[in-house]
Amino acid sequence: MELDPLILSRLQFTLTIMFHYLFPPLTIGMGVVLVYLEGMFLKTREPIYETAARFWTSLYAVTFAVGDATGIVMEFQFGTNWAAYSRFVGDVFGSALAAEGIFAFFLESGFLAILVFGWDKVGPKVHFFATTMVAMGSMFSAIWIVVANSWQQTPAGHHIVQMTRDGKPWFVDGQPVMRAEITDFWAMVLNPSTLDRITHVWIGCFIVGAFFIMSISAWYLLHDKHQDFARRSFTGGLIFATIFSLAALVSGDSNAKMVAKNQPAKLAAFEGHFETGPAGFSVFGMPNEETKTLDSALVIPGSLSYALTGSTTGTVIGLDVVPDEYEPPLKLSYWSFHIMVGLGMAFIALTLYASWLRMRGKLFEKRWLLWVFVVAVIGPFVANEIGWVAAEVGRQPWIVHPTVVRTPRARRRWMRTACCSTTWKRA
Amino acid sequence: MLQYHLEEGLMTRNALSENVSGAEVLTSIILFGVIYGLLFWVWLFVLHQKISAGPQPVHPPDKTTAKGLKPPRRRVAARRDGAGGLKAMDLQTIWFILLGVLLGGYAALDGFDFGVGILHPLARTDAERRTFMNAIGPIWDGNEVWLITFGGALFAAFPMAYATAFSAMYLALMLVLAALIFRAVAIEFRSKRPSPVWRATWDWAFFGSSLMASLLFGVAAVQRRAGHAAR
Repeated sequence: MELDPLILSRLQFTLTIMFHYLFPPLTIGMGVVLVYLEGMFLKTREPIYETAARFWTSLYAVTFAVGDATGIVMEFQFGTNWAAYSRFVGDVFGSALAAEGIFAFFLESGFLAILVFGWDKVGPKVHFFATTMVAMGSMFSAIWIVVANSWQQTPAGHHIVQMTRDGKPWFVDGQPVMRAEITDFWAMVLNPSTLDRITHVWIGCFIVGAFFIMSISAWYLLHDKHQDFARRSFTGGLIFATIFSLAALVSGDSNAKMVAKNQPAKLAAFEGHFETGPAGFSVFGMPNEETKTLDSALVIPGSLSYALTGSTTGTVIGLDVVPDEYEPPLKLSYWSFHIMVGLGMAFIALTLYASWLRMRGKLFEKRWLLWVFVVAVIGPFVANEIGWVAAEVGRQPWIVHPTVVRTPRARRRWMRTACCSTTWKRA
Repeated sequence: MLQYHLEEGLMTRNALSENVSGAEVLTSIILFGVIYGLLFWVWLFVLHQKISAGPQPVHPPDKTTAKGLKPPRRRVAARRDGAGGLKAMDLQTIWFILLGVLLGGYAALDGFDFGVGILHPLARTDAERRTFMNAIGPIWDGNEVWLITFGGALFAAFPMAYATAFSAMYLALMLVLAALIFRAVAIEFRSKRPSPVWRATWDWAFFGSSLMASLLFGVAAVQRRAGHAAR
């Protein structure tokens, strides 16, 4: 059997990134919780806050170490498996990655030692400061990684030039070596998808952190251990999870508009939308590549048009106008997107129901619901992973997605955005 | 039909390393599959242990904990020294020096960790072995940040070198990464059970991965020089 390096390299990237991404959302989500707990301890001096902060830090530390160890592979892999890509984007993507390493990662790793080993060595204020730095560092990491990836989705702030070597045009295997060079750093950083995507990524991380805390607290409640600690942790996690589950919906809507504008083929694949025209959300359906239809579909007519354009008859670009060779893999895009959205809706339902019970003081009597929360932690992990699958598979067959030509007017706008101005704001 | 600014984009199939074969990638997938399986097990194992123990009431200071606060501070200072006072030089030279500082810093700091790992079998008693590991326990992951920063800086400053060298050293680098992760697993896992067989296994894993990593860095460097000479 012929071993295809393309398929294998993509498989390897899938394996390494999906394994790595189990850990960062948890550390980002829990980092915020640690800051809150230590802040409350400084304010109230109640020992339960310190006990809680120490306990969650011990879980945080091991997760951080695993995320750290697997992160190195990610960074090296661009050079080992994707050399042509690295040459093309080095100036742009490499800059964002280096910024992550220098600003964010040093901040995290520098203060992590104080956070984990410094409990009895430094005062609570210094410790609080270190915790804040680690939490901020991990959120900065996310910014730079999302900037790098968003540039692949919606490139901006650069131009393409042919590489020269010793003053002559450079060719590798007969192909001219082209590369993207930054012309406007901030236009690159704040490219059209960065803000929407970083918000969604952060929210996803916070939901993971909150569900993780609720899962362990529910386990203690069910086994009648550490009651006071578990009740307070669960309640805190629940408030956090409810707010951010709802926020994910708002941010998701904003993301969908952004994708429809910049990557119409991706959105069409997400929704199994084959004919340009009015479109609806499909609650369920089996996308069929041969007949180009969505089989046994349950679609809410006009809803997608309404969400994207404000009118139930608004036009949404379908896969019929996308050249075949530039269509994303249909089934994987459709399913990953729908599983993410479905899980997001389930989090909203679950957290709202639990919040309602909590307000009536009946939550901790419902043992079945606590069991649901013990297991429910898997949901946000899956939603985070599958959301990235949707984002990355939907971008295929491109590794750097080109801008879409629509009308002369749009082209002029694109020219402005792409070269030199700061008109990155959504129109 | 939807039209694209094709010259703007890059297709995934055109983004691969030219000189890495399918067999090499398959090897590294299997390698990472095994290592990640192990790592995931460690993670669950440690989480389970800590969750079972539960939150502990705050206790008086524990004098035996090693402190690991120095390296980060020193690191920042080194960076400032490296880049300051060099304004007259061009950007490439500054980056080249900076990369030298980063790689040198990594070699010195994690080299120390590798050394501890390689000397580990010389420790006679269980307590001595534990002391060896504790000596690097709080700092090894901080030290690895130097390598991460080196990789990121090389990618940004010299993408051609990054792409060409890393794909040329494919297997050696993949094995290095696997060894680094395996070392982390060994450090975490050793003390989880008192059984001598268990501990001896992870002691040897610690020794082996430290030796492999330092050896393979050498292999990668020589391979690169040899490749250069052949061209």
